[in-house]
Amino acid sequence: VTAVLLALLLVQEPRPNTLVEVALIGTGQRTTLEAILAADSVLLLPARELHLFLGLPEPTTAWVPLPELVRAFPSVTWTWLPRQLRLVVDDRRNVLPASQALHDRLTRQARDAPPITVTRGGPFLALAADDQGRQLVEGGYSYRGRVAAHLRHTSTRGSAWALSWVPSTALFLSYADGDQQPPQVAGRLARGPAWVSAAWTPDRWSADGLVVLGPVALFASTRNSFALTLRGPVDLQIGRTGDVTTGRLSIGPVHPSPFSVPVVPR
Amino acid sequence: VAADLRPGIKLLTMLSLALLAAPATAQVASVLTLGAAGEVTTLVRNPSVVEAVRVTIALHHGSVVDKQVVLEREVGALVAPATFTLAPGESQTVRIRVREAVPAGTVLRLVTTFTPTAADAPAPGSETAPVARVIMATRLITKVMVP
Repeated sequence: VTAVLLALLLVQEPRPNTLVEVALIGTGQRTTLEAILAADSVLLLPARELHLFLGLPEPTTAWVPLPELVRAFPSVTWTWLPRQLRLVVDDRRNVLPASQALHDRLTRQARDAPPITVTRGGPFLALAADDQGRQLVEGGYSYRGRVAAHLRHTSTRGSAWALSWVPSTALFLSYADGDQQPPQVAGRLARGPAWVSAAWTPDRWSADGLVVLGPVALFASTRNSFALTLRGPVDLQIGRTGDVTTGRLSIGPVHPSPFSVPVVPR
Repeated sequence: VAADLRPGIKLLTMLSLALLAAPATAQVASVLTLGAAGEVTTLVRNPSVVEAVRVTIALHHGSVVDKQVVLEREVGALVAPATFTLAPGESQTVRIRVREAVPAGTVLRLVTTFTPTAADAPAPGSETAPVARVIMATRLITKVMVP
C-alpha cells in the first residue's frame, strides 16, 4: 500500500521542467529557480524559494502560479519573459518585504551620511558674496569621497575646518573645529540591521541607535527618547520623548520612519 | 547538358546549397563554462531570415577518439527549455543546471540540433504525386567546461 501511495505521490507531484531567473528590479537581487511551465503556458514557481527571496511569510503550498502573485500584489509589476526565461519583478511602492528591507537599508546608510558623496577626487572651491558686504569662501580637497578636507571662511563667523573619513559605505568619521565653534567628533555606522550615530564635543555628547529585526525596529537616543516600530498590515509605533509617551497606528503605503518618535503637537 | 543528367545536377546543386546554408542558420556559443551551483546560461539564435527551426538541446558526457567526438550517456541535468521553436531571427535563452556530481576538468558536450520546421509539413505536391525531398538537420556539438 505504501509503495502504491508513494507511486501515486510521485505521479501527482509535478516536476520542474524549466529554470527561471527571478530579478527584483532596483535591488540587484536575483535568483534562479526550478519552475514548471504548464501545458497551458502558466508559470508555476516554487513557493518556498520564491517567498524566501521576496521576504514573504512561509507559504502553505508547494507551488505558486504567476497569476496568483499578480492577484495578491496588484501594485507590483510581474513581467514574464519566456524567451529570456526571466521573471522581472518591479516593486516601485516597496510592497514586498525584500524591497522594504533594501529601502530601509539605504535609508540607514543615507542617514547622517558624509556631506561629500562624490566618487572622484580633486580640489573644490566656492565663493559667495551678498549686497550687504558679507563674503563666504569655502574649499578643500576630496580623495574620491573617501577622505576630504573642508575649509570655510566667512566675514561674519571666521574660519572653520573639517576632516572626514569614509572607509566604507557603512562607516563615516569626522572631526570639525573652528573660530566660533567647539571641536566636534562625529561618527556613523550603518551595518546590516544596525545603525549607530554619535557626536562628541567638550561640553556634551549624544548617540542614537537603531536595530531592525524583521518587522520590528527599535530606535533609542541619549536625548531621552525612543521609538518601537512594528510594521505590518497596520503599522504600530510607540515612542517616548521627554516625559511624553505616544502611540501611533497607521495603514497605507506610507510606512512610518523608524527614526522618528511619534508626537502629537502641543 | 543531356536531359537525363539534369535531375542529378539539380539535386547536387540543392545539396550544395543546403550544406552551405545549414551552418549559417544555427548559432550557439562554441564553449561554455559551468558556473557556481552547476549552472550555465547561453543564447541560441536562429539567424535565418526565412526559415523557422525546431531546436532540441541535450547535455552529454563525451570523449575524443581518433579526433572524433564520441557522445556518451546524457548528463543528469535540467535543460530549460530542452525543445523549442525559433522563428527567423529569434533567439532563446537556455539555462542548464547540472544535477549530478561532475569532476573538475571534465568537458561535457552540449548537443544542439536544429531541424527546419518545414520538415513537419507534408511536401508540396505530395498529395497527388510521389515527392522526394532532402531535409537538412544541423547538429552542433559544443564544449561545456567544468572548472
